[in-house]
Amino acid sequence: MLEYIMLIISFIGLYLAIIWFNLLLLGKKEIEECKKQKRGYYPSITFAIPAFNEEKTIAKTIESILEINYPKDRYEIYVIDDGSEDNTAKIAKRYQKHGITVISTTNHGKGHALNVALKRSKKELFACIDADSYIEKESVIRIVQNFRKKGISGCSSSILIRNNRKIIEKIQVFEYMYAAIFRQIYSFINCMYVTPGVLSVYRTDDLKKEGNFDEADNITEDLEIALRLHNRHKHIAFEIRSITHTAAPNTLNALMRQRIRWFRGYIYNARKYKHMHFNKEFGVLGLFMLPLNILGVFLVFITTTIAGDGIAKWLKYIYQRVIIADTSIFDLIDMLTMKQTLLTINFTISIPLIVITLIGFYFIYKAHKITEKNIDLSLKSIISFILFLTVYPWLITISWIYSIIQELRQSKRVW
Amino acid sequence: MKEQYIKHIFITSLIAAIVIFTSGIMIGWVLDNYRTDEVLSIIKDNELNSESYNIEQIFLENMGNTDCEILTPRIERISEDLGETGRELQRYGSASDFKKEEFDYLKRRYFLMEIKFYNLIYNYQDSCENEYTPILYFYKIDDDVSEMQGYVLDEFVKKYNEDTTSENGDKKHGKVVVLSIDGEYDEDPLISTIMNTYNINIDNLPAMIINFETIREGFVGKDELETIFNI
Repeated sequence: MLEYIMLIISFIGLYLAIIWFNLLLLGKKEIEECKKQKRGYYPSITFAIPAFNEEKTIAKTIESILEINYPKDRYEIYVIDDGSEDNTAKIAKRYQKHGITVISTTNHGKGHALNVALKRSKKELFACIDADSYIEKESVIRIVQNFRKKGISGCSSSILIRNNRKIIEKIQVFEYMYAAIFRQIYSFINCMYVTPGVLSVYRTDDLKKEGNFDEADNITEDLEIALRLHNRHKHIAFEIRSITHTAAPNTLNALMRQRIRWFRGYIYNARKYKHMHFNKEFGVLGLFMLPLNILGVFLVFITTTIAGDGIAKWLKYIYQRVIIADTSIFDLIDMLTMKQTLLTINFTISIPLIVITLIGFYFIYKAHKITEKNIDLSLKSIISFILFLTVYPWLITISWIYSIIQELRQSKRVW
Repeated sequence: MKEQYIKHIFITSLIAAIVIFTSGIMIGWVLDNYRTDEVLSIIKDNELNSESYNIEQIFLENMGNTDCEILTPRIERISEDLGETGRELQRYGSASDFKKEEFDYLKRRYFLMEIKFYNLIYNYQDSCENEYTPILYFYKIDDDVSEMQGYVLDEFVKKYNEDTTSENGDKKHGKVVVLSIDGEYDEDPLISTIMNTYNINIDNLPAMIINFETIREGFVGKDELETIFNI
């Protein structure tokens, strides 16, 4: 039974890897065109920075916007202090001389804070930036070029990790790199189902027409707004060369909390827009991307279960041989000849796995190349990559299981 | 237009996935043939060696000149070959996807070879000193206790056979040979005949017959084995 499950999973994995690989090759032209894109298009923008207790980072976030390569008269900045209990508002107010508006509200959540700024905005585009994120000088100019196309309602930037000293942060560097390259493909096939709050830009009119950001019990308003725009058959793009640096959770506890929030938010919004799943009307998004997200959860769950079973058997083997049979640890290694090794390999499973791995490596290489970032080949980084492939899926599985249970129990969603 | 391209990609990717997946299956199938051929050739070699030993033993008996110095290294060689065959059978059998039946057949031949060797040792002990002590070990597949017993026996035999002489060079004891047989294997009646002869119940597996007479059912730990072998 397990053998058949493994065969099915390896085939599905292989098929998906080849699809992504082919889509990346097909989208290559678009990326090249992006690079050649002329500038000279400077729509007016409102930057909205919702902030709650962000005294440590808010100054740098504001400064990074003030330093962008963009005509100063074409943008305005709002800092919406969402009832912070620290010095966030005080620090933000220091920048009022640069034309920044600070609005203080009582704590109602991120969606509400964004809507406060949106209501005041008269600009063509509306950009949301997290108060712990810093944008690169070229990010905005690159991202806005996507709005030359009439059908585009929103566009997001690549997110990179700015704090990457600890292993747990370095693991997320790889995750975000993969996310960047995948989102470029999603954009190409019109499947960008999320506009991350780190830096996403929208057409102000479209947002207002669609009824602003969701304020009601939604802990992932960035996912909700993207799905809502798709629901209205609007297009969302992704600009891989527009780069924003954000702070990644640097403890296991914080990471799990963040993922549980995302996953619970995903479940909530997937249910809210369930009519879009398997719906031909929404094209590749409805027929492939959204169902794949659900299938993906099961695939990760089954794969980690099979891997867990393998690890349990291996540990049992070690226990039985070393503890019970008193075998030396060095005698556990079976020295095989080349021929024996070759004959021991199960090629039915190994060949798809090798292809998937090669495609995976190509993707991470490509992501670094497009974002013009160097590949970190330090020992710590290599260890982190191995952990990303082996341990990280477990954290994701545990977070998903916990999120599903919490949603079934209808427990309160917290930020 | 783009939708058309995407549809095309989904179809070509499916074809590519099927081609790659099928090539994996084909390589697996070709290697499976190679695996069975490999084990079969080792088994045939072993059978020939056993047969050769048998004839040699009869010849020497007929000549009234049983030379244990000639027979002992031959027994040792067959014992080593048998161990290697068992390992190859186990290694390749578990990697096989398509030749389960062939491996089952090879398994049967291997068990018969082990029992034949068991008889050879019995005759050998008649003529020579108690140089080899056989353990006929009956196990159950996918059984934790049997697995554990297998590892304990492996380790015990390895250490016991490495330590046959004392520090001053005197011989301390002979060697132990383990012959492992799937106690639930019902394709060959010989196995159940042996188990019945020694009153071994299939429900009490794992079990072992030490030196043709001592019967132990259930798990036997390292300490108990040491007591049995007077270490």
